[in-house]
Amino acid sequence: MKAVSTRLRSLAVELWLPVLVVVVWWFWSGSAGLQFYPPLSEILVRFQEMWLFDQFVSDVLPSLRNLLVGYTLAALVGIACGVIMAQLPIARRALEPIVHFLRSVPPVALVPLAILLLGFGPGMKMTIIAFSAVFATLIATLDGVRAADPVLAEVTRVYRISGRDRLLRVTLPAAAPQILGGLQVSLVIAFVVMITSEMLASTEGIGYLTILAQQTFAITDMWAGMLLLGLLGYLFNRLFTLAERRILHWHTGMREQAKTA
Amino acid sequence: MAITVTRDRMAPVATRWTGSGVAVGSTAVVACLLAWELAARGPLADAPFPTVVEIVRSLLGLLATGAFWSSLGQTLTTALMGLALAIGAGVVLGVLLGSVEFAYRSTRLIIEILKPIPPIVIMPLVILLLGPSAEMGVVLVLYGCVWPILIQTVAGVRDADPVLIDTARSFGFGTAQRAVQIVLPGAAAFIVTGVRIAGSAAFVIAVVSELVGGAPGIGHELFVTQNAGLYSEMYALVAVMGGVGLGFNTALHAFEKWMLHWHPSVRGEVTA
Repeated sequence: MKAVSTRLRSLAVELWLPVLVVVVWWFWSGSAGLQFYPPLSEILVRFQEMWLFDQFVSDVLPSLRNLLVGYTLAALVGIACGVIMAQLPIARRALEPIVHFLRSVPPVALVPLAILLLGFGPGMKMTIIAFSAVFATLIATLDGVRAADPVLAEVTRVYRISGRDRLLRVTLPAAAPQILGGLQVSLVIAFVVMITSEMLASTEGIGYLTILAQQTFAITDMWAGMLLLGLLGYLFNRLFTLAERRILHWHTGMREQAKTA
Repeated sequence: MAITVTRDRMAPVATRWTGSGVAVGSTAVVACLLAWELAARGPLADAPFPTVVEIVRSLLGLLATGAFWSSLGQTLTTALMGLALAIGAGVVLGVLLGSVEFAYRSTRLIIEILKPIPPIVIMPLVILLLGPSAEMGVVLVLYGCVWPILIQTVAGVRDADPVLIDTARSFGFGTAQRAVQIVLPGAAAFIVTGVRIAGSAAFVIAVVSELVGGAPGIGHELFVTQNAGLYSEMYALVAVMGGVGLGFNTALHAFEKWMLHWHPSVRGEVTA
């Protein structure tokens, strides 16, 4: 019994403020004179009307497809180039200055150039998402592979482990914590660039509908769009953290052991 | 243990710039520029793909105008003001949440939900409230930068050595004195890392607020040149942004090192 009441109390401590915020928002929004804060109940109704499922196929799916294709491309290319650059000193020396410069360009600033060169279609969006997101993963992979324990490389050589086995069983697992850190940053960048490319150049997508609603003073629609984008941002992060924990469970386990030892 | 936590996984391994490294690197840069020039003259001559020579000419033209420098200054002011406000808010709130367990647990869920939501998501609302102004940009930078600083500060404060605090208490240090003389210096390494992570986003967010939101600055210039069809100016502006971004990040790394010169993680350059 005591354990139950302790858990209930701890749950109450975690939840009272978030619940209070929602309750205050619910009753305070929509009161007189708040033209930019429509009632939360109306926002939820519009959310349901817009995204479930009226514009789901026409706008939500294209956004998610662009993000998924662009991000997958960025992840694959980033990891591949990172491993190659880490193992070929000449490639690393040659490409590092260029990579660091391109990484420093605000990704969003590349969207106008992409529009210029590739037009307004989904191909442009996937390309610019992939291009913007690739550098975080590439640099993290490069650093991760290079920072691996040198003894590991020696043992691998002594046991004559090479080719595919070395890559999949030694190099990539050793660098996995860094690579996943880079992939997480890439995911955030890809998400931001997805929204931006839709806000700047589109006739479809969640970002387009949200900024259009803002420009036409359809305030409730704008809130519904922000709610969906916020929800997606939170969900992507949550899913990534779960996947990361799964992939790295051996790594965190080892760290815990080292801590208690 | 504290040291391994403050070193985030994205921190690059120190690169040694040997003489041959610089030579190879600059050769590659020159080769890329040459390839660009040839592509722009040959197969892409009809595309909106200006030659390097044209871009450099536009760049020099831009550098000679006062308007360019004032918009660049505007962007940097937005980024730095937002960052400064984020540091202030993040450190004060972080010390509070880090030292009061009830406050920490009450706000944890809200922070968890808001942290992964990028500033561009709330931009439509902020534009409605503040218009396409510099203030709008500052608010977005503040929102985007405050989370890493807040979270790092909380972690740093919670990491404080209890023996140190008890010692200070037995020497008669008051609460405020303990916070300023014991807890804050102990958390400094965490906070500075948070500032570096946040800072690298500050410039990017300022540019977003200008390009998409219409706030004055170099991002807005890019929007204007795009609409005017000034292609080589667009490329020149993007190159400038890359250079400024690189400078911003280099300065942040130097700042981190300078602030933490006394800290073991910098002194020894341990690869923990």
